Amino acid sequence: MRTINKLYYGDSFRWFMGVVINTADPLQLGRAQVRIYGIHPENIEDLPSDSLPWAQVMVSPTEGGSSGIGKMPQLIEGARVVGFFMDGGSSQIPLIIGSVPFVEDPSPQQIQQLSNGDNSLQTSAKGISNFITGKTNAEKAFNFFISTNFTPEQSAAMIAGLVEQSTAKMSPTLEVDGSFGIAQWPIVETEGNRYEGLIYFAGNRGISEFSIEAQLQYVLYELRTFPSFGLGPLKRTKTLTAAVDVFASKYITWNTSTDAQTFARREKSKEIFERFTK
Amino acid sequence: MAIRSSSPEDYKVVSAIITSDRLGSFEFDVVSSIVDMSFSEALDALSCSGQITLVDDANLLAVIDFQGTEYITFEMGLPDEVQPLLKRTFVINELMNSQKANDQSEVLMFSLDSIDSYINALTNVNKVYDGTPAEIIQKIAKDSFGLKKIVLTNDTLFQGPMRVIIPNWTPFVAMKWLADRCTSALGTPYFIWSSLGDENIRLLDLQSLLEGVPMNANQPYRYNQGSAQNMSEQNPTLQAYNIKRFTVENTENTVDIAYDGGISGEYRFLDTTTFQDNKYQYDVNNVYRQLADKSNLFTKGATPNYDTEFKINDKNIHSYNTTRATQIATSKVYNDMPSYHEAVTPEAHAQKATSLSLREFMYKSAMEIIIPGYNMYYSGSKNYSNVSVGNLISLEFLDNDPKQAGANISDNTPDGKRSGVYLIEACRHMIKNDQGKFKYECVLKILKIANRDGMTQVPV
Repeated sequence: MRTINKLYYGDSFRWFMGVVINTADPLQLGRAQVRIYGIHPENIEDLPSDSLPWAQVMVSPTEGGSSGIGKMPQLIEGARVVGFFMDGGSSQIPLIIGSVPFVEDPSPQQIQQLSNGDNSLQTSAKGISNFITGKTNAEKAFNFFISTNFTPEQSAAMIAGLVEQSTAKMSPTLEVDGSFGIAQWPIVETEGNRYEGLIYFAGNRGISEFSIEAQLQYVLYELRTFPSFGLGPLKRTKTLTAAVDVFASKYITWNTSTDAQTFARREKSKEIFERFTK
Repeated sequence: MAIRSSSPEDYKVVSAIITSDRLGSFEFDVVSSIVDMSFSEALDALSCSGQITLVDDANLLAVIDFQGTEYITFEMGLPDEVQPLLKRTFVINELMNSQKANDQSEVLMFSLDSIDSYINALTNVNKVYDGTPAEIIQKIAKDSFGLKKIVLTNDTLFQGPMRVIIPNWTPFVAMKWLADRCTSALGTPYFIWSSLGDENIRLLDLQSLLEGVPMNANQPYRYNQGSAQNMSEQNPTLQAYNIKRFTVENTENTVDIAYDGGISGEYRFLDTTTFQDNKYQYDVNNVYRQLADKSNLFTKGATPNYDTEFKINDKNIHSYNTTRATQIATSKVYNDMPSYHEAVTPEAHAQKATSLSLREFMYKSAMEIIIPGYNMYYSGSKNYSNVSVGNLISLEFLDNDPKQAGANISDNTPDGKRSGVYLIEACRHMIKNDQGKFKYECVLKILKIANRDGMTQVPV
């Protein structure tokens, strides 16, 4: 016979580690959708990312702890977090108590380390490259973005932007007017350090910077590392058009597109979306 | 009521064939070696289990080389063949005991698991499901056991659609967990179980079960020592309604239910999204009053098996704040659908407490009876499905009031406390080989939450 008076929530404790998948909390409480290792299936057919629970996030007691006072959680997609289930073994209500730094992509400081000849960093990028499959570079890019939890619309939008940069074949070796690769990263040093970053990024993983694998992973790395490239706004988009416009303006940094260019880019994204989803 | 010629304990076992994938087409019919066997079904048990005792005088143990991976298929039934034979396959999952009788024979006792139970043990459920708890149970049943597995339920479920992520449980654990979340609008709990006679799963609430019609509405089972000892003198049809023995142990313990929070207490459900503390003061007296007003459970003056008048220190026991339970019930865990623990109001949350409390009260007046097996036999025929577990049974016991010398049975009056309608919570079908003939009787565990009319206690 079960006993009711033992039903005190604090008596049952189960902790977890997980990956943050989405931080665009509709309630704006700083919550995060989290895929929990060992509890949530990795297969997105059994558990689509949209169906993941929103976990509340604990903040430091140095903050106000009251609405509108103090800092909000600052987790981003891809963060590894630790927490516990407030309902214990039923495991339906997760709460995140912190994030766990881990070696994923080299930070700007790590790139600097690499440039100084320190190759001691370990990364998980070779695991990610398993998702880069397909007959064409565009198909590889679509599968890669889907596997890293972008929606089909967001994935098609990113490819449309990249195709516009590097021709329909998304050639990773294309060099035009001082820019290189699928995103046409500027080589000229005065225009930024993005190309140099690609070289170190690929070198750290033991893969060629001329490969589509390295360059797709680098796109993801840039999005995750530099907020100005617009990962947050992009993840919040629901439509193809919105995703295309955000990616073009934030990542490709085309602030001066003509109406004709914008129209062509949107049409291209529709064509890509239909090609890979039907 | 048709008059039968055979005894209500007569039974036939046509075959009991042991097979195994590793033995190919070899089959061993052990029907002549059976000493006894039993099959159990119960509320909240999602599979039927069994035991069989065999006399091995043909070197069976060595020839088959038992590994706990053998099948045994029974074909058995009532001798009058009103219903079809029951054909059921089990996995022999354990040699529980073996004892040498002499140099040429050995007694072997095996435990039997249903095939569903075996599949359950081998299956991990780790998936998201949307729907009402009943719909999710149906989906899990189909995912795990195939499309033919049907969940028989009704439309009294109060809870609406929800989303759950099953965290690596077996299908049975997941289904039971969901059934525990189910209540009717009045908070009566749901039970989930499977039957020996067919492959379906039943999911029904206590109120619906108790408001049904007893399987023997016109002919109560009677306990009378004289007739129980002289069954053979009655006609076979009446013999089937004899209670052969009954046992009452550890019952009517009100204080344990109070201690467990089943009588009164404070229940809180904390929503950590809003930190709204949904508080509900539980009082079983109110619950019984509601059940009396809004259900048919206490009609005709029947009284609940809770004493509303009892006082300790001049205070009714349901007025004590005996327990304080607090659970987390965070809202908006999902954007588009409630989660498992969510409910809209404190009253909706409180159904969880009502459900747990009524489950405890169900067992307060439990009893075990042994009856001839005839009326408990069900082999899948719809006309005979209202027997055994989950159904009501009407019983009549005679009171202990001394009668004058020369009085006969008709002078006795029914015992109002024990007599009445009970819910069959569990049934163990016991078949014994009695000098070459099989005999069939059933041990029933029966429950109730109300005494029949005529009791001295004030009705609610």
